[in-house]
Amino acid sequence: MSSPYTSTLGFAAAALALLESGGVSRAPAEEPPAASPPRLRFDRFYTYDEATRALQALEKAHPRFLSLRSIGKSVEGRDLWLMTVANPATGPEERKAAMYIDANIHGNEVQGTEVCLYTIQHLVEGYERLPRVRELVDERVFYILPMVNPDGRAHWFEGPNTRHSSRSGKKPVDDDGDGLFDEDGLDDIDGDGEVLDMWIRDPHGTHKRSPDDPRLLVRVKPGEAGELVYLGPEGIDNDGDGRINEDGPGGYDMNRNWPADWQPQPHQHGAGDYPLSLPETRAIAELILAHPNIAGVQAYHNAGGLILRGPGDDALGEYPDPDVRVYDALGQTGEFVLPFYRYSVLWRDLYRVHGGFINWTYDELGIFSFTNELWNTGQYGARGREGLGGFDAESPERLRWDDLLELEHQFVELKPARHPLYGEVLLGGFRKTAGRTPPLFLLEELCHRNAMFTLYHAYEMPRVAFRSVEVERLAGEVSAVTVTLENSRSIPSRSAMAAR
Amino acid sequence: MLATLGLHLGLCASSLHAPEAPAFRGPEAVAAALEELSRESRGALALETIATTREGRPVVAATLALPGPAPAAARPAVLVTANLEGSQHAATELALEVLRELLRRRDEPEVRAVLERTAVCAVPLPSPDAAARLLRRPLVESSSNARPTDDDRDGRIDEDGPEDLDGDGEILAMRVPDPDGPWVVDAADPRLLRPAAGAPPGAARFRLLEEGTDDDGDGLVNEDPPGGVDISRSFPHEPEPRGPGSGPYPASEPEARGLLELVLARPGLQAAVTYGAHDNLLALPEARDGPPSKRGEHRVAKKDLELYARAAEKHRELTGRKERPRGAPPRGAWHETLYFDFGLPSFAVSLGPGDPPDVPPQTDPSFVPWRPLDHPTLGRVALGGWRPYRRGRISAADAAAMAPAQARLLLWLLGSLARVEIDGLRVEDRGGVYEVRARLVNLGAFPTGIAQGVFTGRRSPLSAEISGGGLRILGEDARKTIDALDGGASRELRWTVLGARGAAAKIEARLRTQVLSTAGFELSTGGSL
Repeated sequence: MSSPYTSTLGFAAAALALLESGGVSRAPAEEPPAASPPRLRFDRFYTYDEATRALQALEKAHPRFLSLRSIGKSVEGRDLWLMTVANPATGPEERKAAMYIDANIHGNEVQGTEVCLYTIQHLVEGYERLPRVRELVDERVFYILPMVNPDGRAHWFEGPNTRHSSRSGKKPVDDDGDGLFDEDGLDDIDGDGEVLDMWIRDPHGTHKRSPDDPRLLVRVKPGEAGELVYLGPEGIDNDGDGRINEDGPGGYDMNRNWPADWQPQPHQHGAGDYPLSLPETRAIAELILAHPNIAGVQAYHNAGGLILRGPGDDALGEYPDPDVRVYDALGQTGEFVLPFYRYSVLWRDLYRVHGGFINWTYDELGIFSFTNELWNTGQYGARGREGLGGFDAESPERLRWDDLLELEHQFVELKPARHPLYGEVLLGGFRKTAGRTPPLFLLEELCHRNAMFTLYHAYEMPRVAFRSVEVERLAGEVSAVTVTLENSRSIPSRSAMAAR
Repeated sequence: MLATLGLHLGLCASSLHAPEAPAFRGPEAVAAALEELSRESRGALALETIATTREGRPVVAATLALPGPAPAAARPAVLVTANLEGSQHAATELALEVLRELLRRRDEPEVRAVLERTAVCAVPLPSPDAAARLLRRPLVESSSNARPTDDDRDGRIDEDGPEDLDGDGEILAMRVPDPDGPWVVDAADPRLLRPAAGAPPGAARFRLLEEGTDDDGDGLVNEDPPGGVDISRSFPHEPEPRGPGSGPYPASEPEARGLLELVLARPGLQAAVTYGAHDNLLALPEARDGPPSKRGEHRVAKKDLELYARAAEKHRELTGRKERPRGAPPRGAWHETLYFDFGLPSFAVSLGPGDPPDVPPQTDPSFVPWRPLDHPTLGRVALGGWRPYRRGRISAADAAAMAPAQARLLLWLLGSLARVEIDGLRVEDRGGVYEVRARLVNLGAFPTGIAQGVFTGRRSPLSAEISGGGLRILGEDARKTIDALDGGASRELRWTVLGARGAAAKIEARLRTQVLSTAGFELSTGGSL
């Protein structure tokens, strides 16, 4: 398989070819020698099946610290993989503070899965070499669920998609209320393997070619003649109802399906039929409820370069002061580790959310929780916070980076195609791997910095120990015992929200 | 243990009541009664298991429909749910008896006409694990299912439940003398307690506890009993997070999820009736203008309130009931979820006396006179009060006596449901193109979608779509939509189409996924309906 998601160097899809050992690929059946365990590469994205094999290979190579299990099945029957990273020799899981990490709840927001894989690999490989990693593996537990929405991921890689589509899981929904389910999604009308932007020529059009870069289209000024009109993403009217792409696969948002200020339609678009109505969200909720040792939560999304916390709606009020101080300390360190990211509050800096995942884990369970929106164009230039770019802008600068750093890999110039309804249309624009996901040469850096922020969060989870026990004999058989408990880390043993 | 308590049992013979529970069927007997009704129904009552509880009991939905043109699942239907609480056993009896009454009257022409066209989907016992507590001893009143819960969040599960200290087979209440207690004995009726505020100085004060001991030594009595989740508080509309019995999250229990999935799987459901502890027909809900607020909403849309008022009037006419209803429903209530989240007109019918009287008659065997008891840790206390499952309850026989009127109310409701037909279809040849006009008529009294159903999108849109071999629709969409059609209202829709003379075509009316009516015609001038 050769696809635009893989490195331009190319790679073979056989199971353990994903894993390198001294640059030599291994046959799938071969036992990796203990001396040189396999390594995952982070200049590529992993499909659902590839990520599954990578997790299995990691577990096989590091049985001392890793255990992989499926906590449930997706709508289409794919496993929800959970990797536990812990050292059983230093005590049982339930007596250690745990960090829960997940990614890819939105099927198209793929690179968080690679961050999870990177985190697992870093923890097991660093154990002997790095005292901080050894301490984390010995004293903490990591529950890592790299693919919350396996169906969305699988469809995003395999099906006709833009960078924004396949966000939903794949339970059929009748989006347009016509009695049919998922009957009119995107289409790759010219068979080039991409779903691009679709334009039609029109002398009264709303857009024209940019004077800065003629490949780029810009909106015309009032009164100015245009050349083109935007028709939407590539697709046809599959069900003959006069509309295009109005009922694609799925049609809900798993990150609005959690039991925290959950609101039904139309208060919250994509909420699902009721809280935790989906097999994926329910399985994860049951997992988290069954592990009260979870003391930190990190969810990876894309994009924008944000380190987000709740609340999801200002109507709920700000979080308790002591917790805000903890969040601020963690978030500001996050901005230092991720200089292209901004520490932000969901409702204020992004949008209002009802029924969001981290809103459930913090607002209801009292666990300090972050969502990182991975990648923005700041990582191209690293020019400091004031220069933070968007992630979806089609600017001349964005195109120039693409030209020079990726050799025009991500951009497709407008080309004519035949449309059954519109006649000749023009297709072009950025591929689905541009905009929300980083260029592959920056993926490993993205993985490393985000993983390190989350390991820092895990390190700062409460670590409670007896500092001293003093016995003072008062009289006869009566003694006073003074026990001092110490939490040596910055996160309290119970958040102010949990105390509520 | 009892021997060490030094019991001082009440002295008068009348207080040594027999530890008999109210005479209601347990869940296994309810299941058997449904099976029997189904066997005797000549195919009119179909049973289906919609969930299996933690203790392995089935939650059964019974669909009642007489043979007719459409299959039961495709018909307009009313959902009847009873005893979400698991402790309102009379409500289960009522649901069973209503089904029995409808089957008994099936051959009456007006009943037959309704039941050939519509269906009743009934879930008489959605919380069988909670209901099964009626059969256990000692008898303790509870609405909890069997989910293990750490009610007091001390890391231990179900470790401090009630104990039958006097061995009478029932868990009663304890008056514990306490100088800081919030209660004093009522001067007029010493069986009752009154708030201590305003009591004369020096009056003996009490705490009121459930019969039992502090099993886990945390200073609290019975604060983490066995179970559970109260299904009647566990639905998604306005749930109370971490509230008593509300569960770890809405619909956390298979019982609740089974009900939600049942409603999602039955697009024909147009209204709901819930029998239990709460009521919205004896006193109507408040009305609101405009859309519902996101949080804390319990008011129904003004337009929908008209339907509630009509149902309440019919209810009054059929039952003669006028009593004061009980208090507000709990948060996370089923009948409110059906209205607010699923957009169905949702009527709640309470059973038995209205607000329970504070003063039970002196002779009421439901109330056990207070008598002294030496508690193992609290010293001398008094034991007594309402017996389990008695306060504000009616008997199984009284519930059965409600069934004829409730069956009539249900028949009225079924007969009032929206019924959309395509009427007055006309085709005109306009010189090579055809104009097709079809009138959608709602023959029912209820709208196809109430205001809340249109707001949530659950009961909207009503659509009509024209299709046929070689047909080309000119200028507009083949499918036309209407938010809702009121009872008795009609709406004409018009298409301009190009096609060969004599070509076969059809118009299909749908409410979201449910096909309501289909009319076939040919492309030639004239009316075909």
